[in-house]
Amino acid sequence: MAKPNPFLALSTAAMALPAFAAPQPVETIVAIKATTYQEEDVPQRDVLAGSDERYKIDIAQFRLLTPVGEKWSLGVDVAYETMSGASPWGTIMGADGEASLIMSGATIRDKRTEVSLTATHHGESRSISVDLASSDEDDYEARAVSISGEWEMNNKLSTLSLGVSYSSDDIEPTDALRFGRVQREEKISRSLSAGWAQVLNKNSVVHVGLDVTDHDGYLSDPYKLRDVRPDEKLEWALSLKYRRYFDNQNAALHLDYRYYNDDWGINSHTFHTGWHQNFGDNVRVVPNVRYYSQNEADFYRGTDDFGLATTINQSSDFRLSGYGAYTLGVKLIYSALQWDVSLSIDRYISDKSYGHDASDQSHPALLSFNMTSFGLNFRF
Amino acid sequence: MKVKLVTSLCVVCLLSLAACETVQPWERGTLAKPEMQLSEGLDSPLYHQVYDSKEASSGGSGAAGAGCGCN
Amino acid sequence: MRTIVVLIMLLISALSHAAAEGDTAPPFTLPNLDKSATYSLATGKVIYLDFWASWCAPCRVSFPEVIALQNDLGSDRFEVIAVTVDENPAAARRFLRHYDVPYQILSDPDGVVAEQYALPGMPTSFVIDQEGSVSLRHSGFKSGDMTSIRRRIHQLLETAL
Repeated sequence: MAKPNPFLALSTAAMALPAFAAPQPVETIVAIKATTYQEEDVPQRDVLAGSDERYKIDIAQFRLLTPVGEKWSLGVDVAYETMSGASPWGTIMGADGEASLIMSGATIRDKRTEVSLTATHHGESRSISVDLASSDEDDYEARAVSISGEWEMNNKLSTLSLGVSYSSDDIEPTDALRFGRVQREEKISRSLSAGWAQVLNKNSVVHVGLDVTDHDGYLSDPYKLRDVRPDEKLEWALSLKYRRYFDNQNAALHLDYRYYNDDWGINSHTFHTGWHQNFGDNVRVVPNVRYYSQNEADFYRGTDDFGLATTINQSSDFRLSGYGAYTLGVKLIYSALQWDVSLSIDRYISDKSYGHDASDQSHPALLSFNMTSFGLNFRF
Repeated sequence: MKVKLVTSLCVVCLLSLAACETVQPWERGTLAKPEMQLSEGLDSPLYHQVYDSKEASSGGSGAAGAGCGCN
Repeated sequence: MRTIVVLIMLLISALSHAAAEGDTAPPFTLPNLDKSATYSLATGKVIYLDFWASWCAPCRVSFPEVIALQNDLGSDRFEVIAVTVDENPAAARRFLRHYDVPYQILSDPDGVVAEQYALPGMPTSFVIDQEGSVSLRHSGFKSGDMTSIRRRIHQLLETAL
């Protein structure tokens, strides 16, 4: 029985301390969010074998953030996902000269649960946090710990943040013996991050961040027919965020950029912009656009070569190909003094022609998805 | 190309710092607005998770966090 | 030359501590929030001067406690003067709809008086004695801060008897 590629990531920013987080929160915040994510089916002509149905994932998120005593705060994040759908096992050349997918059969539902706990100590102009996170599903288990700090300077107009984290992941692919997969593998990730938030004037703020991560261990996809990746990856990302409020329009502009680079040969650019338009005192509408572009990994191949020795790196995973993607989204928020409710809709489309450095061939598994989220926040 | 990109980003950062004004504590009302925050609630973990598992890139959230479990 | 530098530095430090404890509270005149009257700082009563804003989270925590303060101490010899620094007074009015406020709310949208009092942060409150001197300056607000503020106000009210 094949397995879908689940959302294996631990919420890296689950306990993201927003800049200016050094002061103790004054009230308790409870947030919940329900999301449904649906990928579009692969065109039948691109599927040689297996199901053409792709992932459908439902996600429930819960967050509690509360002050404890005079100097502490506690955060709890819980996420629960259920997913179903088929995933690409391999890519081979079809009779028509175009790459075709071998997909898994349609799958039973799989579940993932993630919990993280963060304790923060608040000083006059600085805070220190420790976060413990854990993620569990049928075939995957991850445990992580991170320590981070924020220091406010220049009369709180500047904030320095520093963090370090360590994560240990175990994978035990389902049906390992039956399909000749690895039975149990491990991976260790260590990362450092630094950020600087700076108030420019009454109406604008900027943030610069740098993250560096090293992954060590089993980094291949065990569900693919042939997927051999290096046992080490070093990656870094530089991010810029800008926020500017326009008095006359009663709206704010968000501009985000991220540059990513790793030693597998991949570099990418991500741009995200949103216009936060207020209507009256309670309503905010946020149309937003994201553009993403990556080139291909050094060992990426458009189709699997089963003739190569199994020690030679190769992967036809579409996520390692050169392509670009657009996301168009809109979010509606209604706010009252102690609560707010939101609805977001996003549509994502990807194609090799959208990228700055596309692969020679378009990968048939490049996907499109629709995502809808409903959120509620309470403050008391 | 990469060197030029990183250099120009550093220049942008330094220029931004040079453009800083002192904003008094009583003038920080606009900066406190929800639409002026750098991240918004549960959106960050949700979108990072979606994109990190469907694309090759990760990071850039500006926060230290646990490793991504996606291969 | 050195004397001038020292004098300038003393002047700067004097200005930046314009409303430190022991100083005379800078006089001012401000309109109230609904623009029906103006208020000038006067001596004779113990005054709790509270600078707040609708966008300031700790201010929301302090509001019920400041209301209790005025209600408990009466208005014969004690007065709360709340000054909002909201640049948009409508935001302050919207915030106040949730409270039954027994004292004056003044409006300082351009931060003129806030600057005179050199507020180190938001919120900041001043306990001013009957002679017009700053007896206590308190910055920030957490539940429980009111205990030491009440103690100082009681001391001032008792010494005047």
